[in-house]
Amino acid sequence: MQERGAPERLTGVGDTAPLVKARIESAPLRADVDRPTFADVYRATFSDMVRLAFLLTSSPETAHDLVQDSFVRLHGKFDHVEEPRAYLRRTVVNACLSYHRRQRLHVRHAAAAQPEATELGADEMTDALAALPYRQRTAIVLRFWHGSSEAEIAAALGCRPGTVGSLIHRALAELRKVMP
Amino acid sequence: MSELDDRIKQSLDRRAASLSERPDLDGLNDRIARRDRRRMRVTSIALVMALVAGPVVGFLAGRSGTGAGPKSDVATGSNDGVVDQSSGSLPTIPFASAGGGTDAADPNVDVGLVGASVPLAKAFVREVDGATVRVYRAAVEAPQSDGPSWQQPPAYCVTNGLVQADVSTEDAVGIVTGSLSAELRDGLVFGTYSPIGVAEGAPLWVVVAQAPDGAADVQATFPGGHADEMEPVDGVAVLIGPATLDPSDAQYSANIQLEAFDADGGSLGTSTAAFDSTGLAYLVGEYSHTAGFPGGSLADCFPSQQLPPPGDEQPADPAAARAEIEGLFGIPFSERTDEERVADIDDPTGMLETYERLRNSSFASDVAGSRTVLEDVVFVSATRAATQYHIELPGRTLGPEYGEVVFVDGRWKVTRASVCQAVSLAGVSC
Repeated sequence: MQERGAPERLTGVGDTAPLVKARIESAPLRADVDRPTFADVYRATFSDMVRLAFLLTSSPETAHDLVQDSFVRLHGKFDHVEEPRAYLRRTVVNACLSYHRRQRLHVRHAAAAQPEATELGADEMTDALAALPYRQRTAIVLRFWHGSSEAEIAAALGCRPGTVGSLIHRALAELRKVMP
Repeated sequence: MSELDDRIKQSLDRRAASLSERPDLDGLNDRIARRDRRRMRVTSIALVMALVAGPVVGFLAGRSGTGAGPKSDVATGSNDGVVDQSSGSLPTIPFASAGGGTDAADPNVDVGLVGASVPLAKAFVREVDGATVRVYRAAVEAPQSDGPSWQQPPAYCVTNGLVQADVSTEDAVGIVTGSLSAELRDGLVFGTYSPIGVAEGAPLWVVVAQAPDGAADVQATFPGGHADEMEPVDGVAVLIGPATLDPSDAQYSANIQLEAFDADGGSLGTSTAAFDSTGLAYLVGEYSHTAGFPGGSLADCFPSQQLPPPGDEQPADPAAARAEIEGLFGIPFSERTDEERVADIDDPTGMLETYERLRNSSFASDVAGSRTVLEDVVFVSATRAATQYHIELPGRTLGPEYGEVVFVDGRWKVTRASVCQAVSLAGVSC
């Protein structure tokens, strides 16, 4: 589907942008009249998701990148996802985890490990949070910044709700040790 | 809330507020388009393996008399290695769930080219060079055929089977999923290539090959000259070879040759797949080919954006036929009932319900104010014509779109497939 007068034509492998754009703007992809469109979900949750990713990665550019990729994943499955926000939250958390794993691998391959760059708005608490293991940090961010319930955190982390309490407990204990 | 809790919350709030990011729909649009192109490319790579493995007949004839060529470096003691083989009917994966990425329950699950939504049938087990290869298969349901017949892709573009190879070695395990085509052209070999064990530091190439009819042996030659071969089981071979992939090597490249032989050792075709490493575990396939590649055939797999040529037979009165066909277009959607629309479709089965869904879709307001405008007609026979038209919507125009009309019951009607393709633009399926 192409708007007449648009600069691109849909001619094969490439040039799918107009079609994609039309579908983004015209979702829902299924026939539920009350269901928010993909574009609605995108506009409503984008900033929140980028901030979540930023708190988990400490990099604005990476956060933007990971969240855009997460929306790409959601777009491909929007028709099948019952709760887009919960799906996005979990996808973003997983994308940030993958990012951290890749970072660790890069560091291992580098001649010398490089400390994380000083980030926007960094403070002592930020440093302390950044030093936490990823799952503990994610549980803290979702609990204290996002206000997520244990069940929601468990869903985002892919663990049992009981594990969330343990993660938060251990994280707080660690923070108490290092924070004056 | 404790003091520490307060400090955590304030720190996180302050830090989050320091970031100002606005939605970037255009950027997202570009990414989705790139994703779609990557998927197309993955399909294309597999398809190209089918195409490039096809030899020119003369080229083959020249080689067939000389046997299969040098095979001295074939994996020792593993000429075949099939230790278990199963038979029986294959389960069928519904087309709606094939194509990957439909598992909404787990965002981590992205099964690639074709996803399995039913248990697969065990096909065979192979033990070779310290690796155990368990191969499972399923059929894939034929896709719903929307659109005019002259836009339908040839059978070699259609995936009709799934092969999953579970490969385990002492150091790594991995799963490689390959697809099978409904048809291979001219004795072609169809290969899906993937590495496993990269992150584990024990990389291994795995090739899932669909052999042509008459193939008694399929051989893959990996970087460094190591080769593996096996007699295909029900047309499928899974071949493995050592790899030297290093996640930190951004300049990695590798070539793998695939070749099929008949019972006399004559080559049925050869191809070379070339891979570049562009990330830690991502490989983007590029391809080269030997002589005989029928260049341009990939384009056959994508809908033509041109009307077909006129057929030899034309209606007795083309002008009258065209006038009647024009009458099927141009009427605003809101000025006709669904029953009147359905009366103009050659096969009206289920179309009343389809129009109901269309009017309740998110395009409802656009649909209500729409009309189709015929641009051109080509008679491909005395009773069938291809149409090019556009859709006028409030404030914009979509097209060109393509469809088909047929002469049935004494009058011209739009084919059901054409209507289904048109309504699919609004996310509605028949």
